[in-house]
Amino acid sequence: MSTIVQPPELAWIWFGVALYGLAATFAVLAAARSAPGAPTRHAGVGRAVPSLLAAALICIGAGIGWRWQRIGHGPFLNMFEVLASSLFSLGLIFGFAYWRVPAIRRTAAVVLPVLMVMAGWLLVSNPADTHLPPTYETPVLWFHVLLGKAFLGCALVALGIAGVILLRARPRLAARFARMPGDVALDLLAWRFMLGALTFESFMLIAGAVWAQDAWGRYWAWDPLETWAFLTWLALAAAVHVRVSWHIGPRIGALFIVGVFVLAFLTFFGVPFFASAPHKGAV
Amino acid sequence: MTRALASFASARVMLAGFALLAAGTFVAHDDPAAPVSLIVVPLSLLALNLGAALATNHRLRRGGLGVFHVALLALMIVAAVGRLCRFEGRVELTQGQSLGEVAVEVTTRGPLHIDGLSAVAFVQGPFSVDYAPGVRRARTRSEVGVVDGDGGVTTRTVGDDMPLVLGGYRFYTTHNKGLAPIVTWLPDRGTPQTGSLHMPSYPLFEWKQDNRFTPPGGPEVRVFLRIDKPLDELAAWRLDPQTTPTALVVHAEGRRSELVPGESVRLTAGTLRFERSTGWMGYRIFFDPTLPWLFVLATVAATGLAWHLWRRVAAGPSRTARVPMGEFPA
Repeated sequence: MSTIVQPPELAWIWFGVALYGLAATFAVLAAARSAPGAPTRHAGVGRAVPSLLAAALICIGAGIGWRWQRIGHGPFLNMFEVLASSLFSLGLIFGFAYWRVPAIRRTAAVVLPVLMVMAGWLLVSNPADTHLPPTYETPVLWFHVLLGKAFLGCALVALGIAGVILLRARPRLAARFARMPGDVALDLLAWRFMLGALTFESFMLIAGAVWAQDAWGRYWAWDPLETWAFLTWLALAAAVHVRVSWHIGPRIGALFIVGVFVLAFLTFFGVPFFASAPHKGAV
Repeated sequence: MTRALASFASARVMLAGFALLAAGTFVAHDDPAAPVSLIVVPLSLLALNLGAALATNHRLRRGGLGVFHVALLALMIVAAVGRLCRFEGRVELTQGQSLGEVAVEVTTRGPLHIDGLSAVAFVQGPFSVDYAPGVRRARTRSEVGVVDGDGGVTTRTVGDDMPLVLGGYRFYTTHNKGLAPIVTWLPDRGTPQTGSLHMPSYPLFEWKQDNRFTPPGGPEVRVFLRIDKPLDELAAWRLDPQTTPTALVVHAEGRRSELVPGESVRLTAGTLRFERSTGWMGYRIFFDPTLPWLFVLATVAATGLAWHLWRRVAAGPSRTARVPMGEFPA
């Protein structure tokens, strides 16, 4: 009878996922119990969120580090590695925004459940060891990957703000986020993060083109990941221009942000499932 | 005139361009045979729209936003020039062969491309490819001899992320490579001729290492290259055509002969000798004189965007509500 040997770092990553789950639950509970006039005895639930998030990041970071040391390369290849590294980097970026921009802390009730979707997917992904192709042994890959994480991280923070704007539009939920700044102020903040996402995505595409030129002898070939990354860039640029040109309201703007984030998310994690070109992403 | 320019510079035209470009990209990706105009027309429309917008809207010419838009317009123009001057091709070189001796398969040639490839010269040297367990390709090292200005030959090693760049043409090693036994045909009358037999890509077609040829004045010969060290898919190994133990199985005139390097077989009009085993490497050729400019302009554009964002962040309050640090608002 054969036994399946699990990589030793899995325990760290799964414990980190459990802490993520706890942080997400506490964030949602804190939002649910925060209606004006609600008793303040549940305030501790909300205060635990940053600590839980930090602990989750430490555990996942330790797991990734262990795996890296064991197999000799970073988490760039299969879906397990890409999800684990994204869970770490997106959590880190959101954590940084949470610390530096107190106005968005309540968006944890939107952002952390989104991250939990990725965490759930991570649990069912194959953690098998991967082989690093020689074309990945270049410092340009680092720039490309880190810029991609920064792009999706900015879009995620904007998604959290957009989510709050849309949730507040429902009378039953309006009170849950009443202590946050008004929609106009949140809208301004969200689009700054979207502009940051546009900047990082632009740099990501440039670094990707430099890498592709050296790795495959062409800087752009419309492979599935390139095509969808370009469509995401186009959608983001179009959304920014629509907002500036027609002064759309916060709710319409929030819908645009959700749409762009969905496109970006599908590009990062969906395209690898039907791509067969060399630049096929994670699968 | 100004009014027409202003109307063409409108955000509606820009959005229409975005939508057309997105649709064109989608269709072109789905159908590689789709006309290139699906991309070119929307991009031209967007370039004209951006040009008109820059001419009529002074805000687009200022600060980081100005840098971004001007660099973006220049990028589109330079990319178009690059497409017109571009050359792409493929070539397979056997060890000892020079680029000028073989036909290059052209895959893309822009209408404004001026041939400079005929002036490029290098000779293929030995190569090796490392494989990880599971026949997963790792490091490729291909040695080439390049004639320098003094008439001497400089050996360079290329492979993976390291192309050979000569006269602006970039040569990339590919997964397409294989074995090439060297044989000499010694006719009963006439001059001996030595050449290589180009076997199918290895290890991709490991099961099909055969070829056929007809030596001058001789019978048709069918050859099969037997590799005496079977491929172990579970182990790491190195493909080195020069040291790969092989035997050349020759089928001619109803007879079958197995030759190791140095052995010969007598046929009707001459003798066929198996000299040694070498390899051939497939290269991808890429030429685009605008490549450095594309990089510079794209970087300048993205930096302009970053500058614009930074100024906005620095100018306005980012913390639209003050909450004590480290505390979740209850």
